[in-house]
Amino acid sequence: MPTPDDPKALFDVWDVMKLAIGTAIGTIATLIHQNFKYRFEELSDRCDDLCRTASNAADLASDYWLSEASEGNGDKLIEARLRGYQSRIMGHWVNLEDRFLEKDATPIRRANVRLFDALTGGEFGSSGRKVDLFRAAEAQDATAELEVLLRRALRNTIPLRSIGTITAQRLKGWSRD
Amino acid sequence: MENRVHAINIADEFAVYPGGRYRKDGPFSGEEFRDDLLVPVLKGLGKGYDRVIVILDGVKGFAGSFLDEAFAGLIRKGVIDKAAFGDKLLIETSDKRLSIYVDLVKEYVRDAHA
Repeated sequence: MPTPDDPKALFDVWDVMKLAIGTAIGTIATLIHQNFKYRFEELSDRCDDLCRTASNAADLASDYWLSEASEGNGDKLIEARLRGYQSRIMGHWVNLEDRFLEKDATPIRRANVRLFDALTGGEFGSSGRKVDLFRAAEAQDATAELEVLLRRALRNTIPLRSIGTITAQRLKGWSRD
Repeated sequence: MENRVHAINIADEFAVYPGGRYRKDGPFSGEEFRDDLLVPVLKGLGKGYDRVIVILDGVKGFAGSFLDEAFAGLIRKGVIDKAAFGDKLLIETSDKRLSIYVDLVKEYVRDAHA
């Protein structure tokens, strides 16, 4: 049995401390990783919600713009739903905007403006509305742009991503040479 | 120089659910808002106030066609010129969900031609 004066006892205490420090570092690293993973997945889910809503809105808008104004409540129903989609898109975006870098958020805001004009601009709500091929296509294109920008912004929230990207590009360059 | 402001709150003075573009298509249209509310106020510029602020807070959302007719329509009708936007006529909201409509108006005004 080692005594306090015995150097072997100090060695054992140091071993225990090393083990405790290692465990603490491991636990902290796991917590940080889990926390990041949870936040990233939650952010990713919100992006999915926005993409899904924008996509549904674009599909409905394309149907709307590919037909002329009609009598009855059919148009009014679609118009109410398109306005509802706008509110939902903005609700989702407000929850996301602060989580993205400003350089990523600005083009997304512009894509949202473009989408909103495609959804309810032009002769929206007008009894004399004609088929609007431009808006039917613009709704789909603006949504595609929005989705791409959102995915890019999401990727840019990954810490040290730029280092990983630069390294991958360098490696690709070396393998080509 | 005194800089007096006339504020128009759309939700309080016009509608919580603004309509479409033209008056003939139903109530609370962009045309109605422009001609009945905005133009008379803008004509009073310099007679008691130097700026007009349109406040969007409280509105449940806009159709782009409403905003285009109400604001870009001012330029198309020659009521004001583009330079007056952001100077004599401002559009504001403290509601982040409505801020996109401010950007949408700027886009329409930028594309409008007298």
